[in-house]
Amino acid sequence: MSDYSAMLLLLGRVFQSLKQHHGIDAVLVGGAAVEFYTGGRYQTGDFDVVFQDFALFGSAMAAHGFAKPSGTGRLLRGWVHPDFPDYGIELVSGASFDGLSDRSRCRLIRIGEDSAVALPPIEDLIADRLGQYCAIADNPDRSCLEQAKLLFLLAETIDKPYLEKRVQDEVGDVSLLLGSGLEGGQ
Amino acid sequence: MKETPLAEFLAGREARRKQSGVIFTPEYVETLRNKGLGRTPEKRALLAVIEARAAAAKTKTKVKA
Repeated sequence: MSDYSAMLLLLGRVFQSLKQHHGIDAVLVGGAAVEFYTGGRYQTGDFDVVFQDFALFGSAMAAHGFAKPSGTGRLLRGWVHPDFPDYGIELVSGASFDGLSDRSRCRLIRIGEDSAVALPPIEDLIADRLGQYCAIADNPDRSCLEQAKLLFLLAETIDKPYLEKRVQDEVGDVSLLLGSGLEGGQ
Repeated sequence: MKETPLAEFLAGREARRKQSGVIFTPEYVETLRNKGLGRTPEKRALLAVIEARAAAAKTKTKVKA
């Protein structure tokens, strides 16, 4: 098993523990979720997580061997694990996509009996990437647009009305997906 | 919430990738790599920590804080 897979397995155990003990789903978001959906090898080694209670999340992480890095001050909301120096986990917010995501659409990926990772709806990730691309008008990060197109291209299914609503929420431009199959819908 | 076993999820993903014709060449992967223009100070701090730990462990990482 690769370090990446082993880290996912461990993170899935943290997620499952939170679900079992507190009934709340943690959700993997950001670049790690994009990569999970697309399979490209462009991750930066950081896993972004949304969970509504920082203290509960921290306790579950500590129970699974994660620790706050030393000497990093108050800026850091992250955790690291001694067995995985290439990776870090950051709790980025308490609400998935500022509370605009429909959490019932999340996907739960079962990694092991005691390990599962929740992913946001793929439409949310596409909208988020398009929003990020459009947010910096004079010097946009083109990787965000490329990731949005790839997510759209490789999606198992797309709920087009939901996608369009979420792109509007994120102040993106759904027409940027033209040429990726949006015209015909899916 | 729809639950899917990892192996099934990965098999479906790979089948769709093949059908789409997407190939992850090094050049294409580079176009997908986040340039970090919108990173928060917290994110930059965490990436710096990962980079330092990875270097200390003499492992390779793609992180640039």
